[in-house]
Amino acid sequence: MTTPLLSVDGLSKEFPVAGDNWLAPKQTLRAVQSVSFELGSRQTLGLVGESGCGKSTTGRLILQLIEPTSGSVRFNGRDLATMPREELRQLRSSMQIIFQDPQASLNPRHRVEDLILEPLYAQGEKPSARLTNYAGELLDKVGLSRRHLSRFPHEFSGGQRQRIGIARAIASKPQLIVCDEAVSALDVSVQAQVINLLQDLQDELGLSYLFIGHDLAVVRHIADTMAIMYLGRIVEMGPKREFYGRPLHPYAQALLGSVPVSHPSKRHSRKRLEGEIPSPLNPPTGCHFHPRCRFARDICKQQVPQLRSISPTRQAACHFAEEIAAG
Amino acid sequence: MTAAPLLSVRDLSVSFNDRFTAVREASFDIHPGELVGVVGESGSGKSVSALAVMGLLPPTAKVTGSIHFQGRDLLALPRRELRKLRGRDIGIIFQEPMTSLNPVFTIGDQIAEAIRVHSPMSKKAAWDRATELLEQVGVPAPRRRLLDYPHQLSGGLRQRVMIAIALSSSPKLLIADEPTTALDVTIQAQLLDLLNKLRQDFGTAILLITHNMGVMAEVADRVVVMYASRIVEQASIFDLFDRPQHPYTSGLLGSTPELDGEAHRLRTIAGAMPNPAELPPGCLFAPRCPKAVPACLEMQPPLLPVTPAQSAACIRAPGLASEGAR
Repeated sequence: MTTPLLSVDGLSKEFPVAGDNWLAPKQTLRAVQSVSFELGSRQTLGLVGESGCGKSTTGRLILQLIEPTSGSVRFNGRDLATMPREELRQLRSSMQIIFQDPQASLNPRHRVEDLILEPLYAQGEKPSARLTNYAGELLDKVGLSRRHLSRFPHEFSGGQRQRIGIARAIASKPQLIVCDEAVSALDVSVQAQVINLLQDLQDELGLSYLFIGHDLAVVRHIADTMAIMYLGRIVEMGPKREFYGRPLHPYAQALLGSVPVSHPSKRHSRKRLEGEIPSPLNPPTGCHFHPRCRFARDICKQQVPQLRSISPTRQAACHFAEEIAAG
Repeated sequence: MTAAPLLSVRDLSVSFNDRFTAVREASFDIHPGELVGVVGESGSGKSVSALAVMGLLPPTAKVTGSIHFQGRDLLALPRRELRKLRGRDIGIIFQEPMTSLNPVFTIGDQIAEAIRVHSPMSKKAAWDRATELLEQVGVPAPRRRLLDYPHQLSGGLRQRVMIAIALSSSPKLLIADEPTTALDVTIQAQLLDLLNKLRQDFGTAILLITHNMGVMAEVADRVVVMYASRIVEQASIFDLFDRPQHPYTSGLLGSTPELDGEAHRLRTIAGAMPNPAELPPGCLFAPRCPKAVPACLEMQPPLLPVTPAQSAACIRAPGLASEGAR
């Protein structure tokens, strides 16, 4: 088997959190708990979950923007944690990120040209006519034009700013881009444009995406493989087609069932997920999902279900996944 | 519908500083018990329209036209009268419940205050009523929750508290401005169910402002589509999804990601919303419209009925239906 582009193994992150008052002991927030997955070249993994599930932390851990508590991240087979600093710095040009809010991620005092070329400057390149020309080409690629090179971020709409963010992400010719809620803040018609742009760039440049999002309908249009997170753990993973055809984990089913319908004729009183997402500071014992799960039994309160293979292509972390799959 | 509308908006225009017009000549009705959705993207004027109905626009806003609620023109009403009406007969919920709740008072204090403003009663009775209201909006352990402060509640629970406050005077109309936008999908689904339940149980009419066509598909009876300050289409929810008459509506539906069918490439609307300071001549959508003809650049088409129950502001609208716009 060939080495996958990205291989994540047992990745965990704990944050220390102050107690309720100054006498109370420090608490530990386990944001990400032994997350493992692989991402191949030219592939897109959709990482989906609700607020506080750890999906964004996972993205930042992979890029080494924050340090994992345990576990490893391998990029082209090389462990990023043990890599010498200088080498990691150079490798960073192969891994980029696009954030949700382009307003906050673009320095308002910099011109578009400098914003786009920033990753190259970070690699030690100096401004030149050749680079300016290159920045113009990048703008053409993302649907803007080289006329925009000397403008400032505030002169653009939200969708255009996100295109600038994308131009910056592809400037250093990366292999992997982490898209962290990259289209969530955009209006529907603009969101569709940006999703299509990301797909075109993937085909043209051979990119791999870790596409982090909360909207299952959006992610379906771009992902090849799906991973669903709940309170720090991946609860289900598998190919897109099979996942959307019939999710295995009760939480994944509920999440899919909560997406608004696409046509008024499909309104029905379906089983809604009850209750709220528990605090990640004090998650339920056993399976984190058991208090909200309609299939929960005693074992679910006691034992953490491991993410295990249910079919050759699919994995789920549920004690009764086979039963639920059989209906 | 033959019954008199609960709310009737006619030729509503809102401009700021004589320079920027947020809403142009908007007319629509809401009947008792009906859920009408106003859908549009940022800058379409949907929220400003809602604020105008509530009388919550800043004094710098110039509002023309009429807004009749149960036969009385809200725009002609003295401020005091309007204040009494708002909150009692018209309830309001906003997108961000944290900014609408006072952080230094308990939930119970805030609900009880709202109750006592409109119907004087003892503090004790108001707290009992508050417990009842929280129960109605599906807050677990309501009596204990009354002692909590807003920061102790999740976003979903805070929004339920806002709905409880809005319902405290049994309003006939509830205006909800993007009430689920800041919430997770599972919580959004719960709240949409709650809005539906309120209509069934109390016959409350709801004006729901949203940018999400899926939310419309879930709960709306009728939809008003806005684009760049104008209403471009009005229709029943089924007509809108099955036979959209305005190309913008079709574009919006086509670019909404769906869960059914093949995960095809999304359809897009070329370009972006026009800058409100440099509006194009003629139809505001023409520069982005795949069906535009030269005549579209000459005049703004009025909103005209295509069928008795559906109207569109497009000179090509009557022909669009047969072409299968979607």
